[in-house]
Amino acid sequence: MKNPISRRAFLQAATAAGALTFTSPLGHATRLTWSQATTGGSGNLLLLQLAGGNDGLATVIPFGDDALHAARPKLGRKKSEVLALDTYRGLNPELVGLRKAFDAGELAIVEGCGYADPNRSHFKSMEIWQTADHRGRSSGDGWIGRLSDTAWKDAADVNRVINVGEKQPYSLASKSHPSASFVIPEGYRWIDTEGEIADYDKKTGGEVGGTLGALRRVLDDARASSKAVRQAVGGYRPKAVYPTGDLGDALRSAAALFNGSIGTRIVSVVMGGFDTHNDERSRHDRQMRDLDAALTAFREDLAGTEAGKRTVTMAFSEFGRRVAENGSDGTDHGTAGPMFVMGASVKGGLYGKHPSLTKLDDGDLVYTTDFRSVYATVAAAQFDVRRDFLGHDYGTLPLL
Amino acid sequence: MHMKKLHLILPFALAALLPVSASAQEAAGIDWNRRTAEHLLNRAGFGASPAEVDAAVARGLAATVDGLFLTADRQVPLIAPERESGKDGMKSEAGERVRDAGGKDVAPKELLDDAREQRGMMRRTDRGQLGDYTAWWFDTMIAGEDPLRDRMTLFWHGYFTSSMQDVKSSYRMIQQNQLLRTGALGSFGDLLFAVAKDPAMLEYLDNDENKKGSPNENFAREVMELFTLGEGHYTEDDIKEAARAFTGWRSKGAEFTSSKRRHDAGEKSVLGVTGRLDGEDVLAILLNDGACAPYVAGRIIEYLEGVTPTDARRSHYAGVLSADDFNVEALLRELFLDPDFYRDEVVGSRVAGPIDYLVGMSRRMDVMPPRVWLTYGSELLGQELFFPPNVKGWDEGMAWITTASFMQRGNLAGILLGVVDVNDVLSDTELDVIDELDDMQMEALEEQPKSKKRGVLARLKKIGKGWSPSLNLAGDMASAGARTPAASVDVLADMLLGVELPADTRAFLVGEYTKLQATERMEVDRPRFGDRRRDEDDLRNLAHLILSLPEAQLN
Repeated sequence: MKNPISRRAFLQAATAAGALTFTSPLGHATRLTWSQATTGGSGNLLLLQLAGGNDGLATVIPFGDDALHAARPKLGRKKSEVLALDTYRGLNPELVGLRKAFDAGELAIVEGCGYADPNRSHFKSMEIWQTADHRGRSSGDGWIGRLSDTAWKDAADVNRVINVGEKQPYSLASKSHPSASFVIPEGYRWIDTEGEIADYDKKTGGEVGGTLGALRRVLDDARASSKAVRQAVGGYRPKAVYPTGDLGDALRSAAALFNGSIGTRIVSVVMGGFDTHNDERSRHDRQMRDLDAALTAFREDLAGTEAGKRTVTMAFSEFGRRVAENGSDGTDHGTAGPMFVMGASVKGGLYGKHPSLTKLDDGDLVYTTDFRSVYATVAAAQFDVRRDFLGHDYGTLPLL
Repeated sequence: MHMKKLHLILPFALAALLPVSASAQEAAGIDWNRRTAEHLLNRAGFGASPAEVDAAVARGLAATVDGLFLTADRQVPLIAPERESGKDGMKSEAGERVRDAGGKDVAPKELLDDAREQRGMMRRTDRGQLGDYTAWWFDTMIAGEDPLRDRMTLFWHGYFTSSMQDVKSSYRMIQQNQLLRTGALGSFGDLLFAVAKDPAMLEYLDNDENKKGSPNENFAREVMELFTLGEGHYTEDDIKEAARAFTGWRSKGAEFTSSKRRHDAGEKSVLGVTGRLDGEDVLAILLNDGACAPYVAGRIIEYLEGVTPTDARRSHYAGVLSADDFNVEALLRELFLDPDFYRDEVVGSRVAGPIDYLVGMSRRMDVMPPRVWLTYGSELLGQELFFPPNVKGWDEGMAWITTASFMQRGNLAGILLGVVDVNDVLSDTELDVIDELDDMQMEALEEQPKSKKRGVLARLKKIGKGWSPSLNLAGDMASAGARTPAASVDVLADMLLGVELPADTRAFLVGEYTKLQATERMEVDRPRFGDRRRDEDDLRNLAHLILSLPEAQLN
């Protein structure tokens, strides 16, 4: 691994060689002890969170269902208006690139993903997806954090899981596996104080708890990722042209990290703007267009590369939307929706089962596939963990 | 539904209630000293200079708390928002001509181009006006003449959120901000009723598009989940029924109106109350629900203490709220005189949000920063005023801190101190990795894509030109009698930090400062301060380091 020589790397090497039990001056022993073997498989994951509640019925559109047109006289779409996948359903017309991926057998669409006793609060439902637990945050770490515990035991590496964005989504929350976060590589360092901050990291310590202790750990993480991230992303030359904008930039950075040599295995990106209570047609179409353009560039960029073979993209949202449109040409909060899993190693096609548009629960779709079975499928294939790593066996799907 | 009469919107002059004398309850069990005084000034405002802390200690706790509740005539004057732009203001004249020509499908291209250009111009004027107002808000927070109102206005902005992103009208955003500011310390019930009818909120949560026969549930859900009761205290049916009750509420030309034609006058049942309910009835039901006072009290306490309150604490303060018609001032007065507000778990252990960090630093150093440093700086750190990320507002605490935001905080401090050349942020950032890049990568470096965040960095560059803070740290040290490195570190840390300096950090800083002073001047490759003394340069570098440390992210 071509890591810059950080204190962390040095300590990891030292402990690996000598099998020492190391307690760092910062008091986070587990973060610096090295477990011997290379566990955690060899795959990568781009985790794409569509925040706000993506309207599944406007993404994978069941145009062949009369019930759709009855419930959505304004928002429903006819066959001629969609990218038909068969006689029942078609992709949103903006998803031209994803249609190509589907035709190439690299896009799996899992229909009807959700969970029992659905919560229609953005925040609570997002927590449920982020923790894979109905209790949400009160259950503990995010599901990527739990995955990291299983896949990499106590060998923490701040550059392994990286969030490209301002706020770290709770999926990545972990007591033992911190992750780096950045938006753009410029300025991803302490200008003029790097050396002094390094001294601080070495000279302060002891068992400091509380907020100060937590901040000191982030300082250590920031030092460990600053140069690595700037090297991997700053000098990256993509093979495809990414669309202008934050999502395009973020996926470009994701490709750079997966192509780089700093050991990044999971990149998390959040795309907002899906809460379409009004004027949904044009707003949602724009979202689909932006999503498609960025994902298509990402797919083209990675095509044929080693990183491309290893990388899988998984997109999810906290809920789908109500079947019936509301009075302002939009839709209110609903329940189940489709998930996308895309990549060279994916066995493309339709999975799960489209939820019935007539057998509704209080106006909402009844989920057909537990979203955790998709998590388990991806985690098992990409990171060599048992499919019950979430504490329960939700089954897997044959898409990887 | 007679209860709603109690919560009709009062003229705001009445909202400033007679102050309860704090001296009557001169708090036992609070050791009032520089540490606790600074804590109060951090949380009830945006931090204080050492002199202000000393003055508060001298004044005593009771008088300091009394001073936070200014009478109406000492309130900061509100600026008058202009109505000249945005969707509630003037119609685009070119747009009218497009309509006259039969609409955008048939109008000639030149006309459409004109209309587009005018729309763009109006949008820019609108953003400009909001920018002016944002600058005024920052000025107000830094001036600190009404610190508690400033603090609570920011709290309510993150509580009753609306974002310019969706509202798209500076006029409405400014009106909402003034509503929050005026009612910040008054009755929560008044504020709830006013916000529910506020044009920015009607737009943000789509209640203005909520009509009979096909209700829009957005506001009905969030008013229960985030404004009054909290998740788990209502059912999906309550939301659907409440949405029907709110039908007909609209805003016309940025004024609230209620349309009888669009209102569903039928019977509804919300939280067990059945009747031909309207929107005000629902708000009154929510306000009087047993879950409301604990929810509101809990949110306020958690924001100010940085720690989730225990059930007992929440319920005690819920009692304080409901006993006094949801008077926020009553809750705050009691809280600031409560020994538990000064417990170790709370003091100095809350992460400073971006506004706290930037405004606090400016206040402590007594510097009025350039406007772009505040606006783009806060955006870079994730707290853009008037653009809360979603209806839940900003997540507080450690959520503010990522590896990136941590580093950017230090860089912004360096820019304000005039010791970081802003051009370094962009052009020289890769210098230390460049020898490891090949030619292809070098080219790629020069072809960076353009995103919003890159734009923010680029705009920050502007302030590098000619910015020099009016600071005299060397003079401050001299007048404080600091003649040794240790004494200088103590004085400077006391000025810059909202918390006490831990011993290990103090030892580190003394070592660094000693090293800094021993460094040959030759190493400085550009004259940073013209003819300023070397001491000033060293002290500013030391200040930059202090503000980059974990300790500076606490308050």
